[in-house]
Amino acid sequence: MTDLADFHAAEPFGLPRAAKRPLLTARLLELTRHHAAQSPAYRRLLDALGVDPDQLETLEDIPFLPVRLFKQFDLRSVGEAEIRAALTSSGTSGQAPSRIYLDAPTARAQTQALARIVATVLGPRRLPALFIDAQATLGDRRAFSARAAGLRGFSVFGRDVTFALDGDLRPDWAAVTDFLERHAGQDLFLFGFTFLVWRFLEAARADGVALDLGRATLIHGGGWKQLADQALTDADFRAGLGETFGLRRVFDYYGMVEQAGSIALQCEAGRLHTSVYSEVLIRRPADFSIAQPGEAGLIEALSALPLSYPGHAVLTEDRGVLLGEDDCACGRQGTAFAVLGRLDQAEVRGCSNVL
Amino acid sequence: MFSDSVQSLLSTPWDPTTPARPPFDPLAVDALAAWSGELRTATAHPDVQALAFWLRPAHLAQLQRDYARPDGAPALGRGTVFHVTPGNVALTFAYSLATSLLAGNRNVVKLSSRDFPEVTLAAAALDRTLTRPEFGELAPGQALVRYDAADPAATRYFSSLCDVRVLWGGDATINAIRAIPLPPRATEVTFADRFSLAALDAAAVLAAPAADLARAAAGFAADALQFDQAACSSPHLVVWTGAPATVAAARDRFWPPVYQAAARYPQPPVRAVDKLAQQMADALTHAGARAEPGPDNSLVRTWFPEFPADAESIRCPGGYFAETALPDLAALAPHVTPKCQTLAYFGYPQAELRAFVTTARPQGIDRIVPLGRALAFGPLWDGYDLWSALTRVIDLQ
Repeated sequence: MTDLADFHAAEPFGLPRAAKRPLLTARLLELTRHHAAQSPAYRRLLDALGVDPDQLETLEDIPFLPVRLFKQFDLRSVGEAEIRAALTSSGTSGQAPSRIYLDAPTARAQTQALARIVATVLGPRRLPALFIDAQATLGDRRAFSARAAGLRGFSVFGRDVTFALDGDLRPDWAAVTDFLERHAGQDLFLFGFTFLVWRFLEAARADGVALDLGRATLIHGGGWKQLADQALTDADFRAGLGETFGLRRVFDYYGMVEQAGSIALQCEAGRLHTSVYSEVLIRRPADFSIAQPGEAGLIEALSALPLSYPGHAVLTEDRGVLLGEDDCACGRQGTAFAVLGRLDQAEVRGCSNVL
Repeated sequence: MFSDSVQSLLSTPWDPTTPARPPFDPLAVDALAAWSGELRTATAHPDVQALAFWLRPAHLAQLQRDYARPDGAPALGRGTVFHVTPGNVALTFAYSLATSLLAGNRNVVKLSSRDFPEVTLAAAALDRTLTRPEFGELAPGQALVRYDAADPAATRYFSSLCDVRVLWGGDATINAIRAIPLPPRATEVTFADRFSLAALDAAAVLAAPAADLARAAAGFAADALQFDQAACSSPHLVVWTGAPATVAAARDRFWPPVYQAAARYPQPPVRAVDKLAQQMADALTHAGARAEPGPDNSLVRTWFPEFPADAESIRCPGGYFAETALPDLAALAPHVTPKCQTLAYFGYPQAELRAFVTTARPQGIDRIVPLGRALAFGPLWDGYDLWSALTRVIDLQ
């Protein structure tokens, strides 16, 4: 298995398709062969699909696993002794959590990739960090929830990490104002899940608390589903943060526990970009063929990082649309896309659902 | 009559003293035919139109001919029939009610709390019918109700005054309602969760004229997809019988027209993910399971080289099929459990089907119907003769 040196050496959003595609394709084909050799379950899936991993040529050829398969099965490509951590994600309520097994090289690759991606908006130095979440969310060290994994993953990019919410997820204004006084006049790093950031903003408005976050950079993610009843758009979100806190540097990210580390990051123009470590393909639900740019479909996520589990090509249940490639006003190279939300979970009807 | 927590969808107040009638009493037959007319003009909804067609006078007359008792013994409806109807197939309530009404009964029909537009349409059409002056004697005997299923008081009440309780539902629901007592003489008919399959004779598929095959394929697609494969009668498993080479050729001939017919049943995008996940889960749990290629995701098929021991739990809504092969139909019998309801078939002579029942003696399967007839409700259902279950036959000497 080749290492990721070429990926780490590249500017994360600096490679045009002509440079990125061959690099990523070679790595993902290699990962496909690696998992076929190391994971009997993955091998069985390839056999069932009639896929010979040595005959694949393009990213689009690589079989994609529905993310929910990681909720139903323990899929891994390393022995138990090499597992360093298991990431879990609760996913949709009522479903079993995904279980993602990380060995040391995969965990390290995730951290490195995330550091390089995040540095493109935070800069090379560790900034004082205010996390819009509660310390208590971190919980148990071994069983990571998706939110805990996010907090933990991003905490290494900040210093004096301060939690803005109390155990009931309500703002701890004293802690927040102390933090801002300690670091007055400095650039700041804000991180949080989208819905918690918005609730934080609403609480500030309701409590009449004025905060100046004009020197802060916010990275947020986790999706909009908790805010769906408010029909809040990304533009509303940004406008609200600007008006209330003077916060202008706001970057949404798209990631999932099945592909931690290789997140896609929003740019100043409001579009999500894949980095050198990842790619998204938009597939048509009707036949899984590749959709045209501008045509909504299912998001398939590809990542160069997963070595210890066969999650390098997964079919999400998110709808998305390709916006462009190598052509964004922000100057970033690579795929620009938008996430349109989760697929409607059509009711599973059956005689067992009578009442 | 009803407590405040019970919502009634018919305007005539329910009267439990309305007398039961003989089966196929002309007033009941006329009322159902009139309901059919109301439904026909109400909407183009295909399920509603299918109900209207089922209730047309010619079909009611045919049901009456089939019913005719050879002994000539007089009969009446048993009294009050309390129907608890399911949430998976919206208009099941109407077939349950119509059959019971034809048998001569008063009816209290509990509708699913799920708000299907076709239920609202059918209920409104029934109310327009029953409020006509000519059906004034019949109307007080019928009630369509909705109430919170979590509150057993209403179920307890209706159970206490019924003569027959008809339960449609999942096993858990049926067990919960069965814990609620019935009057000593009351009887119960339960339509629990079932599993259904199809069997095709490979040689017959290869020999069939193209038009016959296209009709069978369209029928199969309707059986499976009309209710999103969620009806108890919708097939999930496709069993091919014949020599391996014949089966392979027959499958190549059968599936393309099924894909064509499937285009008539649009599916939500999530079904594509559901079916792929199911297929991969099946591949991980069944040695040798193989994804069968197809032109699109409208149908997703998985080939099982051995008859899967857990066949009844291999199901996913929206057109997911397990396929396997057996040498002949008799070889299917040992795999059939009491959970099996409908065997939809193609290509077997009647004698072979009859021998399958009487000689091979499967533990389950209550209906054996040609492809395309799996969803067609009839008075023989789930192993019951509903005329007998819903009438009181008087021994007149």
